Amino acid sequence: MSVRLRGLTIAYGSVVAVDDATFELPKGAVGLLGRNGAGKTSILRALLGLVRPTRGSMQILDLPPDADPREIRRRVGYMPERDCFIPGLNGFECVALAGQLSGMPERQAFRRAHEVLWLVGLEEQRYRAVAGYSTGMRQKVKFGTALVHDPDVLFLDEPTNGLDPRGRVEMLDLVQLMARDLGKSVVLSSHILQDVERTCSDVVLMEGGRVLAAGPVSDLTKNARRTFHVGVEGCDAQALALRLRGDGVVAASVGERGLLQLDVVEGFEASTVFAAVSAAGGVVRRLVEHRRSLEDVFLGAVAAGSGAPAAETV
Amino acid sequence: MAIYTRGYRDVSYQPTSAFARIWPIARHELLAMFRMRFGAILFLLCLAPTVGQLILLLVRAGLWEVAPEGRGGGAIPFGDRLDPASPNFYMWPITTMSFVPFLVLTTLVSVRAIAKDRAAGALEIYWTRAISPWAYFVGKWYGSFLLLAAAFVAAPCVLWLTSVLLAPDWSQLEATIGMVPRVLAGLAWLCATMALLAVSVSALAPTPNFAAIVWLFVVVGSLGFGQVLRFALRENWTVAINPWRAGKRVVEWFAGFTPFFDYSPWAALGLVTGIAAVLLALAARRLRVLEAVAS
Repeated sequence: MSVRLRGLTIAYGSVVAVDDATFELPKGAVGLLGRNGAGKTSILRALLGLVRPTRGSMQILDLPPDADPREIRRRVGYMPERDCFIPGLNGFECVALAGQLSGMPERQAFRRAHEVLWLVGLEEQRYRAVAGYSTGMRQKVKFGTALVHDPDVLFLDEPTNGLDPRGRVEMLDLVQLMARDLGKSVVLSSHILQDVERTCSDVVLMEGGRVLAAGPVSDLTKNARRTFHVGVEGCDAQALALRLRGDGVVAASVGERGLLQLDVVEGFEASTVFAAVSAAGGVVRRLVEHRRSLEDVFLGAVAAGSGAPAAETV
Repeated sequence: MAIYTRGYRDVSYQPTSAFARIWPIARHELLAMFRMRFGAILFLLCLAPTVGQLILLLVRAGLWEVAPEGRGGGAIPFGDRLDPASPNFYMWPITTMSFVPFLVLTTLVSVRAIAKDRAAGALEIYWTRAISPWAYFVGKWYGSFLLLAAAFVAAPCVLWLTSVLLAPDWSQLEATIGMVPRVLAGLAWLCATMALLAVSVSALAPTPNFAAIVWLFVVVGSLGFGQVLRFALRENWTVAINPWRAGKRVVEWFAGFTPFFDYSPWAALGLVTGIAAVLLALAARRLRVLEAVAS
């Protein structure tokens, strides 16, 4: 367990940013997923001691809840969402200073800054002023800054913001490297579902400050329902839909261009469709299986009511 | 731990003390002047009064002949301002001639120290590291102090060492050993206090330019206002509403020097201390972690 929240509520005046959030984040990569304003950043800031919770309790690693915030920050690496750099520094100075402020001796901080900047792919540009960096390079420096003191937990707030496709892939690769290969706990806050789905083993879905669902991505996306899109020729799709109902098919409907949409239970075999179409005297021209993505889970959870309590906790 | 193919490796280190974490901030602040374009040149220009005094010392010692023999060379009448045995010799280039250099250094560096971090959102970087807001403030103050001290304490110190080395015997050292350390300590106090005031103003301002304008307005404005008050009330102590002048009076008292505007050094000390205490209290409120992030 890297992070544990119990009934965490954060309010800014009358605005409740996080409402009674309760979950535990296991080690590995965990996604905090939600739209802008869902309360993700507030949770990260509260964990870092930057925002005082209105109610509830939090625990990071095995440190007691009332541990010295500086000790917590020494063991946590934080990559903020917005651009925030110490003015006038180059990439190397920026990362080295962050290391020293985290308690690293100067010599080790300098050496480590070189290593980290090499890791994130800024070895050639490390002596250029950060003010002249592109968005992608700035994101990489922020990542290096979070990583320089070799923290146990990394909080990454929207790390792929403003990145081009290649930069995004590189950044997600780094996140995966941290979580899978190096065994660090990574909390990835993002509103981009694909990023979370690609890198995280667990996810917390948030909407309007509330936790909608939490758990392993595989559990959340593994649902009784799968969907087949079937294109047939030589038989009536409507009649076929009626015929397939009950035969492992939960719902069948005919959509645009005569495409048959079949919502099926887990374990349903595609051969059933072929057999049914063949029996009706037609042929299958197209068959595409659509697995439930994190996006479907998220949209489903939002549609089910953002006021609903957490569907599942880890 | 094995080195990974991507180049990452774990590090193990003994965390430095909270005090040691202040130094990187101070060093960064100290070097801020020299990161600026023309910063080094400006700093050297700020040393001009002391360098001028050094040249006069060399002339007096006869090492640098500025006039033909018999026409005053090596004997320039400057009173005790050019007497290396007088405290005024070391103080005059600073307390009288260095008001503008003081303004330049504090406006370009000290008063921007925290405001520039706030404007750039860099406070979030500091607050998410293992340092407290007070350590951050002390680091900024210490860096500003070192910069001012390099110009206004180290330079007179060089002047003193030069005068000692130019003397034909140890008489100069014997004559000044009891006085010059007091002068240097007084100047160090002046630098520390002015840095404290400037950094506190910086902590209150939302942007560095705003901080610089407020600082210039307060320091230059109070200088003029103090003079007006002195003429109106015929009271010397009124010039002490200017922090630099008040600080200067304290240094003169500490060095055992009778100033031109003679008034109680305690009034000056009280004024400077009061202003510093108020600014510090406001800065402490402004530099709370929650306050910084909310801004």
